Amino acid sequence: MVETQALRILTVDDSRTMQSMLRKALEGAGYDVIQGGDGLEGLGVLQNAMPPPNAIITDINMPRMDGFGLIEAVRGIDRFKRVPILVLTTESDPEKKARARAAGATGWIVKPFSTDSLVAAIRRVTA
Amino acid sequence: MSDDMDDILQVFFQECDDQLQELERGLMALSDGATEHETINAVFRAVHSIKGGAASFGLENLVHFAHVFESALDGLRSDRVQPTPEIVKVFLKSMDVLSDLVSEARGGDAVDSARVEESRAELQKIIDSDSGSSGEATTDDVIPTDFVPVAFDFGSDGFDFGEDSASDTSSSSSEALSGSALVVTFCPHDDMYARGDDARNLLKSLEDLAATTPDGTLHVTCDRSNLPVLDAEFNPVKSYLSWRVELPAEIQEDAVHAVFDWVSDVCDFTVTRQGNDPGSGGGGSSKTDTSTENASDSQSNFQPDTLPETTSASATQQSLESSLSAPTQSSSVSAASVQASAKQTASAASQPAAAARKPLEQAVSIRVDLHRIDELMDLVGELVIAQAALSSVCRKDDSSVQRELTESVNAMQILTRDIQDAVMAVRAQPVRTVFQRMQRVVREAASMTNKNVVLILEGEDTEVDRTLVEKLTDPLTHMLRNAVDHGIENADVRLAAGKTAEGHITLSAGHRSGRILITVKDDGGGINRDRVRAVAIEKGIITPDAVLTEEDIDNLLFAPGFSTAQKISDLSGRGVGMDVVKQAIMNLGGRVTISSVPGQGTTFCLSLPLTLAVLDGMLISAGGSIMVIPISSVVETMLCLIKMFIFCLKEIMWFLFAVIICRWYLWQKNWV
Repeated sequence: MVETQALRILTVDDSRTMQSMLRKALEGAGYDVIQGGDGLEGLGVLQNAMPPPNAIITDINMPRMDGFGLIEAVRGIDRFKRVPILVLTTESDPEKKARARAAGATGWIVKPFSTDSLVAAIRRVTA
Repeated sequence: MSDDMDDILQVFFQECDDQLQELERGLMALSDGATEHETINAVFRAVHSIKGGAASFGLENLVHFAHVFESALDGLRSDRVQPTPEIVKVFLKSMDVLSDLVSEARGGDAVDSARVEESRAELQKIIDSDSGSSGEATTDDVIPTDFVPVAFDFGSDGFDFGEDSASDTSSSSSEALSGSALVVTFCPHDDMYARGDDARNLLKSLEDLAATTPDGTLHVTCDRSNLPVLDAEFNPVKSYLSWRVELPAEIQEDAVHAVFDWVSDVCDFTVTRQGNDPGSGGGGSSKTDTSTENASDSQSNFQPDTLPETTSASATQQSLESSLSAPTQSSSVSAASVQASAKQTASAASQPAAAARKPLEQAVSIRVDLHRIDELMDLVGELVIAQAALSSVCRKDDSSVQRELTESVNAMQILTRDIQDAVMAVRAQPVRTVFQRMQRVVREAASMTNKNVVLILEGEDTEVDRTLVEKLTDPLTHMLRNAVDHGIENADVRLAAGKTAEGHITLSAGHRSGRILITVKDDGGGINRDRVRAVAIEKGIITPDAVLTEEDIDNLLFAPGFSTAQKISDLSGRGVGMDVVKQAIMNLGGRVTISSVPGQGTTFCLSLPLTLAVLDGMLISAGGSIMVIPISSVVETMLCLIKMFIFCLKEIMWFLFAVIICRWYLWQKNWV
C-alpha cells in the first residue's frame, strides 16, 4: 500500500452515527474530513470549502435534499463536474443504483462498511 | 469494542432517541390524517437510519425488526398502501417495539420476543397485502448478517450493477491460463469522465494490483491514434485515448474485473491472457465479447468518425490488439507518464470554472454538552451575585465618585441579567420531548385497560429548563396513567352518560406570571368524593367525624398511602400514589392543585418555576444577621408604619405579656 496523502473528503449524511464512523475511519487513514448533515447543507459546505474536497461520499436518504439531488446539483456546478462522488447505500435495489449512476455517481460503498473497504474505495477514485 | 466505537455507539443511541421522536411525531401526524409526502418520508427515514446504524454495530435484533418495519413503510411511501387508522395503529405499536429494542440494545430490559414476533407478523401482513412490493422483506439476503467483513469488495455481489455480465463469466479461465501475462485493454467513454472517474484512477489501481506481485511492474501502452489535431475538430470533453496494460502473470482476472466494476457501463475493456488464442473459445474470449458488447449497448453519444476503434465494439481481442500495437501512433510509456497524459486529458476536458454560485446556507445549530452549559450557568450565577454585592456596596456612600460607580454598576446589572436570560434560553427546551413520550404512555395504558383514549397535546412549544423537562417525565407518566385508569370511565359508562365512547385527556403547557403551568385534564367521571372519604377513613388517614370541604377531600388523593383503585391494576395500583407525584413536583419548587366536577372530569394543575438553576431571593436582616429567602416562598411584603403598630398595640401587649410569663416560668424551673 502506498501511503495516503492528506486528501480532503466531504461526507454527507443525516445520520450522526454514520458521520462519526466516516470521520473516524477517514481521519484514521489520514484524510481531512469535512461534513454536511443533508444534501443542501453538504452543497453549502462543498461550495464554501477551501480547498475543495477531492471526493464526496453521500448518503441517499436524507431530508431536504436527497443524495440524487445532491449529485445532480454537484454535477451542475462546473468546477465540480469531475469530482468523484461515492454513494453510501444499504439498498440492494438496482433501480436506485441506476438512478445514482445516471445522476453522475462514480461508485458505491455498501453499508455497513469496514474501514479498509472505505479507504480502498476512496483510493480507487483519488489516484 | 474500542473507546472510539463506544463513543460512536453513544452517538447512535442518542440519535435513535431523536429518530424515535421524529417517528412518533410523523406517525401521530399520519393518524391525524396528514398525507404529505414529507411526513411519510421522515417516518421512513427515521426507521431507515436506525436500521443503518444498528447494522454497523451488529445489533441484529434491531436490524431485523427495523428492516421489516421499513419494508412495510416503503409501501406507504410509494402510495401502494394507504395509511388507514388500522395500519397506523400497527405502525405505532411497532414503533413502541422498536423503541424497546433500542433500549434493549442499550443494555436495558430484554424485549419479550413474542411481542416482537407479533408486531413483525402484523407488519408482514401489511407487506403481503402490498401488491407492488417485491416481497423480499423477510429474506435475509438484504440484511447484512455479518457486518465486519469487507462489504466493499469491488468484485462482490454488492456491486453488481444492472446486467453486468462482463464480470460474471470470468473465473473459469483464470487458473488454467495463469502462466502467461494478463493483458488489459480499455477505452473510456466520455461518460466515465463525466462521472468523476478517470483513466488515471484505473491505471493507478492496476499499478497497485501489480505491486502485490513479486515482479511488480506493468507495461502500459497508450493509444493516441484517435487524438485529432488541435483544431476545431478537437473537443476537450471527449475521450480520445485508450490503453493497453500488461500485468504480471500472477494476477487473477477477477481482481482486474473488480477494478473495472464501477466503470463497466462507461468504459470498454477486455481482459485476456497473452498467448491465448481468442478464437479458440476459451473463457477469455467469450468474456471479451460480452464486455465489449455490453459496452456498446450502453454507450450513447459516441461519434463513429472521431473514435473508429471503439465503435467497432464487436471487434475481437485480436483486432483491438493489433490496432493498439500499430506502430503509427502508439508508443510504450511508463505508468507515470501515462498518468501525466491522462491528467492532461482530464484537465483539458474540464471547462474553465464558472464563477462560484451563491453559497448555500450552512449549519444553523450545534450540539453542546449539557455540562458545559451548566458550567456557564454557574459562572453567570456567580457573576450575578458578585454584581449584586458590588451594587449594595455602592449604595452605602454617596460621594460623587460613588455615584459614577453606581451608574456603571447599574449598567452592568442590566448586562448580567441579559446574559443570565440568554444562558437560560440556551438551556430551554420545548416540553414537546416529554409530551410526546406521553402519547405512548397513554396508548399503553389505554390498551391495558381496554379503553379508547385520545391524548390531546397543547402548548408543546412552551420552553422550560432542560433539567425540569427531564424531571417532569415521571410525575407526568404517573398522572396520565392515573387519568386513564381512574379518570376515564369504561366505554359503556361513558355512552350512558351521554359522552363519546372515546375518552379525552388534554395535556397542556403554558407560561403564567413567570412560572410554567402544566395541566392534565380528563373528561372522565370526576372524583367520587364519597368513595374518597370512605377510603380515607378506612385507611386511617382521617377520622370518621372529620369535617372536610370538597377541596379537602380532593386533596386526600395526595395523602401518602391513598389508593382508590377497586382492584389492584397493573397500571396505577402499585401503592405509590399521587403523593409521590406531589413530592416530586414540590422538589422541583412547584405546586399541584386539583379540581374536579363530578361527571365532567378532573383537572390537575402543576405550577413550576421557569428554571432550577437560579433562584431570586429577598435579603432580610434581623438581629444582625442577613438572610436570603427564595422569592418563590415570599407570600407578601409590606411597608410597616408606626401607626400600624399602634393599631395592633393591644396584640403586641398581649404578645409581650405572654413572652414575659414564659420567661418567668422557665426561670422558675431553672431551665434558662
